[in-house]
Amino acid sequence: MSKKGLSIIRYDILKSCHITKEGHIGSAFSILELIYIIFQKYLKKNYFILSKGHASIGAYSVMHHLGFISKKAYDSFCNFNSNLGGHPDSTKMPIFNFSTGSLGHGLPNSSGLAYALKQKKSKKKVICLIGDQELMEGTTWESLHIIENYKIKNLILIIDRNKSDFRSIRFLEIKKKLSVFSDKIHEINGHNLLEIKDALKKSLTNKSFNIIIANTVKGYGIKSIKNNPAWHHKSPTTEELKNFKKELCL
Amino acid sequence: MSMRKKFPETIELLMKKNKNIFCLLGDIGVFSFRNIFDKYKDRILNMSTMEQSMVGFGAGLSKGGYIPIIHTIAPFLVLRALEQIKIDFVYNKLSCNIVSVGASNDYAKLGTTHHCFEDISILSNYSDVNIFLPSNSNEFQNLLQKNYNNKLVNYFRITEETRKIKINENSFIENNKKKNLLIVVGNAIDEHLIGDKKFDIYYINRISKNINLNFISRYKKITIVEPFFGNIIERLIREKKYLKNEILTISYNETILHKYGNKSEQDFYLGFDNLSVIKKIKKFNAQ
Repeated sequence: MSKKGLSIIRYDILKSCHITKEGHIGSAFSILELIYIIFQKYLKKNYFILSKGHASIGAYSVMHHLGFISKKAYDSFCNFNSNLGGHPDSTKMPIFNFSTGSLGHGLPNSSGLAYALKQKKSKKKVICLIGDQELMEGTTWESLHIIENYKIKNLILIIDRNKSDFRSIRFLEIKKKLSVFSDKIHEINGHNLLEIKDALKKSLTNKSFNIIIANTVKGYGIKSIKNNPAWHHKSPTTEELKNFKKELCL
Repeated sequence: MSMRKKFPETIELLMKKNKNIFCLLGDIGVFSFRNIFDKYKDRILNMSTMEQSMVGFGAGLSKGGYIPIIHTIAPFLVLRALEQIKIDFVYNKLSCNIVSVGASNDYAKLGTTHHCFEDISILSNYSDVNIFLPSNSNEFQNLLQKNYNNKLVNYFRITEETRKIKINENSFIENNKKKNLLIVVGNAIDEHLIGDKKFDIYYINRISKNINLNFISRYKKITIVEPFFGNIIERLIREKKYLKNEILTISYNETILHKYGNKSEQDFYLGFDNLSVIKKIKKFNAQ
């Protein structure tokens, strides 16, 4: 995928959010490259859970570009009868496996599913993408204990480290704290496709519980959205959309 | 045998019969499951006191094609892990069996932290949840065996036993074409204590969206006795627009108690002891 290709996906997200007045652009932009690689390469043989469901528009846009859903379906984002909501509904979109939106649900669900797969001796693994703010949810840490105690190795936890916590209680020394639960922690640039591919490839082939800390930027790609809390749940105006298109060199 | 003792026995029978059953315990009653831990150590997990993650983990098992049976004390399941029940199971349309113990004020002496009068009121808001309210151990075993694999979200409320006889799901105990009807829900009261009866008696041990209450339109007065908070059966009757009926619900009307003592003392304080309930039933039906 070229830089231009990713810019087109970003612009599509901006357009959808402009039309529907909905969507979490900052989060969608921070996970875009991660989602792109997962959906392009690793979805068929594994289960993916988007625990940070508010970034759903990022996933829908990638799905549209990879041909998983039609333009008509993509354009229906957040319409009354749409399959694509502000947070994913797994009964309408089974590809997401679990309906998410309330933070802290994805990792418990993922650990249960991974345990089930382990019992079935399945070769499939579970890839769970959480936001760094989800590290503040007690259920995330409870699940890490479950994973450790029941020796769940067929699970890859990706943390979108976009520093959302910096506007509230900061989560300091993530890697050090997580190292209690895994000796396979990969810290990468979450916007670098090669680093993402490499970390996922390693995680999927070894026999440990892997954690990928993906350092990302909230709102990556657009200067005024980047790390700007005002854009957490805001949609662009017509004027802003025009300017963002220029900024993305489209 | 109490329902609590019958539970591990039933689980052992079911786990032997169906290899897809997984039992998750919230560090409650663990010793009574020791035989099962010996036999099926990978299929029975003591999940400690992480109730929310236990329910979320159960949803993962269900997604993976297994049948989770999740057990701990009612408030820690229905109140603390409510969002997990709602989202992970009901919204995702995944199935499970949630078995609570100590609902209402069964743990009277332990105080309000361990009470849960409002479980049925809360769970009945989700039309896809099936609520089972057995009133003796055989009935509980029967209901669990019959329904554990029905691909739905099932909630079983294990309480103190009140009724000796085995009864089928939602059925008449007495049907003599009287003008009035008494509906007894779960272990609310043993109808034998009432004495001379001027009404038919219908027993409800399953509340679901398909509950059939059509027959009640033929009754003039309906008394409902339910051992929880929230006037649930009356709400269902009113939703079905049988408004000509005169209805009295006798139930718990508090959820926060600053009292200890034993259950009968608390029930007396709350006007829900057998004598008070019988008095209210008779007064309403005598009018």
